[in-house]
Formats: sequence, C-alpha cells, structure tokens
Amino acid sequence: MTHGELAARVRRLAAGMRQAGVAIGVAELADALLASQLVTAELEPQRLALRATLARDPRAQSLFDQLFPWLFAAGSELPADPGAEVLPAGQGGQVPSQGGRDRGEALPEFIPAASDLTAAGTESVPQQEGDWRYHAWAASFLAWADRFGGGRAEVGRRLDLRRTLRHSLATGGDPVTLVWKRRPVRRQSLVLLDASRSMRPWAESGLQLARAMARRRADTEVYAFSAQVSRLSRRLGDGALTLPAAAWGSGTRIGEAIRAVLRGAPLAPPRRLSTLIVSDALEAGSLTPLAGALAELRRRSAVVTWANPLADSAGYQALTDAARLVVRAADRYQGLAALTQGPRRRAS
Amino acid sequence: MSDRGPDAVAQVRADLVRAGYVAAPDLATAVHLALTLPRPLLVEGPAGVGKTALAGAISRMLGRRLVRLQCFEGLDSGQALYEWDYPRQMLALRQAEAKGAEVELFSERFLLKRPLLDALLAEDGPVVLLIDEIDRADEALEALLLELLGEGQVTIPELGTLRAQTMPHVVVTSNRTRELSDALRRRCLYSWIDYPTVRQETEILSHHLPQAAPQLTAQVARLMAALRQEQMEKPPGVSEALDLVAATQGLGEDRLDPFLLGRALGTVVKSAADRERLLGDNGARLSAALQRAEGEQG
Repeated sequence: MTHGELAARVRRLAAGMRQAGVAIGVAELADALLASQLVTAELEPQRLALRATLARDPRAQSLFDQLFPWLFAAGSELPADPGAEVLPAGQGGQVPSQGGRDRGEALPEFIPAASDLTAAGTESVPQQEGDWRYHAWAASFLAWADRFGGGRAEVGRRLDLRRTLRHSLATGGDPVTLVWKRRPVRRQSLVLLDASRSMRPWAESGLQLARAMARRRADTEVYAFSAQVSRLSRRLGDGALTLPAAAWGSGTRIGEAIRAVLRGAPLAPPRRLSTLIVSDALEAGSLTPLAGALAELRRRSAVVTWANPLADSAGYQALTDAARLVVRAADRYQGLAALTQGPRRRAS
Repeated sequence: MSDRGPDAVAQVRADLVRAGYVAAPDLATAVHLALTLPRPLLVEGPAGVGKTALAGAISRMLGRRLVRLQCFEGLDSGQALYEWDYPRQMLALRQAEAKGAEVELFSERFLLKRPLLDALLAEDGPVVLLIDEIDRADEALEALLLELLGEGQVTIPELGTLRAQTMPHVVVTSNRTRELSDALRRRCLYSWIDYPTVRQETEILSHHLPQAAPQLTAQVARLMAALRQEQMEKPPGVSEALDLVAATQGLGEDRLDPFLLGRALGTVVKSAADRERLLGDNGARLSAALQRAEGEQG
C-alpha cells in the first residue's frame, strides 16, 4: 500500500467515525498519518497506531475496531451508515463484544443503532393520560427536595478552609478574604426508565417525567432499560420518541442495567448524582447482581428516588426479595402517580 | 521519521520490561507514539491495572525524573501550577521600605513552582510528568491543562507566557469516575488498559516476584481471572495479585488451598461486602473460584 493509498484510507476511516458521531479533527488526522509512519507497515501495528491516535475514548475504540477491517483488511468501502452497520438492527442494542471484556467500555449511548427507537421491532407504547404541568411539578419537587431535602451529601456553596488560610498569608495571617470552593456542589440528574413489558402502561408517564427533569437541568442523563440499555438523553426533544419495546420473555435484569449505566455513562463524580428510577422492581435476574448494583448506585448517588407505579395501588407491600432490596437502597420509595400527580390529588 | 525501525515498538516493549513493566502490544505502541510524536498519553482503565506504574516505568526507561501531580477534588492552580511566595514577598517589601527602594514583587524570584511548572521548566532535560487520576479533579483543572498539554506553555498573568525548556513526557491517568472533556482527549493519545490475560498476569507476577514458584504465579493469575468474573465491588487488580503471591510465600507455601486463601484473603478483597459475598455459604464462591482456577490448569 502506497503512502497515498494509506492516507486515503485513513481519511475514509476518519470520515466514517465522524459519521458515527466521533469528533475527529484535523489534528487527530495529522497525528494518525504521522503515527502510521512510525510503525511497521504490517496490518496489526498500523491498526494499533491508528487506534491510539484516532480513537480517544472507549466508545470510539469500539467503533474503530469494527470499522478498521472494512477499510484495511478487506479493502472495501465503508457502508453508507457506519453506525447502523456496526450495530445492525437485529442486534438491537447489544454491546459490541471486545473479547468478552465486561468493563462497560461501550457507552450505552452507543448501544442502540441510530434508528433503534423507530425501527421495526419498536412498537408504540400506549399513551397514558399525561399532563405536562404535573410532570413539570414533579420535576420541580425533585429538584427542590434535592436542593433542600438533604440526601447523603452536601450541596451548595462551601468554604474552602485550606485556601482561605493560605490566602491569609498575604494579609499577615488574618483571614480577611473568605475563599469559597470554586463551584457550588452541583448534582447531576440521572433518570432510569424501565421499558419492560410490565411497565408499558406507565412508559409515557415516565418519559414525560424524564423530559421535565431534562428541562430543569441540562446535564440530565436519561436511559431506558429492558433487555438492553438505551441512552435517551439527546433524543428527548423528539416528540415522537417512544421507549424501545422489550421482547417477550426477555426479562428485565434491573441490576445488570444499572451497573451498565454506572460503568459506561458520562456521570458526575461519586455522591453528585441525583438518581430517579421509574420501575416496578420486578427483577428477572438473580438478586446478587441487583444487590451489588444498588450498593454501587447508592455510593454514586447523593439521593436515590425510586418511583414504582405498583406502589400507587392500595394495600401495596414490597414483599418480593427484589422489592425489599430496592426499598432498603432507595432514599425515597413511592408510587409514580403519587410523585407526578401529587397536586392533582390534593386539588381533588 | 527516524524511528520507523522494524523493532521500534518491540524495542519500547522490551525497554519497559527492563524497567519492570509488562505492556501489551497496544499499550507499547501508544507509548512509542507518545514519546516519538510527542504527545501526552491519556491512560484509562479499572483501578489496579498499572496506569500509574506505567509512568514510573517510562521514567526509569528514559532515565528521567518523574514529577507527579496527584489530582483531587478542589485542586487548583495554586497547588498544581504555581503560587506566589507571600512571606518572602512581605519580607522583601519591608526590606525595600527600610532602604527606601522599590521591589518587583511579581518576578520569578517569588514564584513557587508546583508540579506542572516544575515539569515545564525543568533544567535537567525533559522529565516524565504524571497527572494522576485527573477524573478526581474539577473541570477547571482540565481547562488549565489544555495550554500545557497542547502548546507546552503556561500563562501566568503577572509574568506572561512561560514556554517549556524541553517538553515533558506527559502521562495522564483516569479511572473514568467522570467523563473527561473532548478538548483534553483531543490533545492526547489514548490507551485503555484492561485487566491482563492469565498469560500476561503470570508474566507480570513472575517478573516482579522471580523467586516465586511458577505454579504459584500461574495459579494466582488464574484465580484472579476467576475472581474478576464474580461481580465484586472492587475486583482485584494486578497489585492485589502481587500481594497474594507475596503473602503466600510469606506464609511459607508455594501453592494456594482454600484454607490458605482464606487466611490471605485480605490481600485480594478490599471491602466488607466482597468479603461477605466470597465467604458466604461457607466460602462456596471462593472455593468455586479456586476450583475453576485449578480446572483451567488441567
């Protein structure tokens, strides 16, 4: 392969990655071309050199590993829609395998194909009577409770004692100027929506609540989970968005889904998450992963709110082992309607 | 480019081994490129896989000083980059007042060099700068680093722009507790260090503990692989494997059995929940992991 051919293929590779949403600038492209000159011409050293320069996060690495053979091993052209080909519709959101590694390196946002939410196999969820005002109220309530209701970590402005003392050196040891931490502790909202079949009647309500929370806080991360995990954060503006349908009998492994999100998502540092989970807590997997995932979620979150629509029913009791685990892990455990329709109930 | 030798990457890998670090081919390639292009190297991966150790190995390999900046929440430019020496400024000011002279308070004379500036202005040639666990620091520190990583310079408002005498070799590590900015990523080459394969881990253990019995290192490597399949809160890393081999040797044994493993479990398990998980049901999970390790040997 001549240098010109190599450069052309690298450019096409970069174009394919850009098309799939990976930001590759001219500087990275230049680095890649330089790097390819610094290793031997065999395929594997070239792959490793290009990978180190073009793929600068795990998601990009995963994409690279699947696009590279198209252009270099087979020498063929990229498909028209690299993202869709890498994750064919039939896969429907399976994490691309990388030698069986289970480290969450493929972010959930990468899991679904671009069109997974409207593709065949996705069916519309029955619309529940939704009232935007009540969901907005619920989002405001959660934000208010997050701000003033404590949780397990502090919020707001904090005095930086160490820097205050150090600054006092400039004024003869008198702490004339109080120095505050640069930024107040700000929590990031994480919303997890259970998209299993048992949750279909409440799917639209959960989605509306997620939209309302995203309106209040721009960095809100929203994921839907059933047998797979899908990132919805950037698609909430799509009015036609529906939750991806779960296949019959696939079961919802809540613990594994939570763990996948925590390990793969771009989330705030520990104790900075304000997590809302809308789920009926009907776990199809074993309890051990669920317990581990809930423990991890609790460590990462300042506050965990679990909205279970089943808890709206009169006489509801958390009797299953999974529900008991959830009740123990959540800081707030309540019905979905109790959360979203609180003012309406009081009005009536 | 002069370094396009057939063995450039292999040479780097061999040099790293001599420096006490066993690197996979992709990591050796990234190190080779980072040193040659040169670019900062961003390394991510689970805790305990050798991200920090890599910087130490590069330092030993190149025979260069290692300058380390350990990141934490609230780390600011005063601790990372520079700070004015206020007591000396005040003393100088009083001396100047006594003499009726003037003094330039904002000069390099009164500048306290913190790790980043120390690395940038090193007079003993390019140093290896380790910016460790950058994900623990605030985003403001990332912004502060952009100029240094991209242009090899820093701007101090009172003094102007200070350029690197010799660009340091920069290694940035992250445990992915939060997402780093695209701007930072784009200034770095990237490598993900995963848990080693059984073969790699055996090689690492043998390299670091050459006096350990080969069957023990192989057994521990297989056991680590088995334990990482258990959904532990804190899966054991390479350093835990090294500790377990050393502990077994310290107990005068050259082979693990369930009883011995139970005694040395503190080297591998670092949380009460994981301990309870492995030792529950009379240690069924731990025994199963050990049996799996034995079975794979067969």
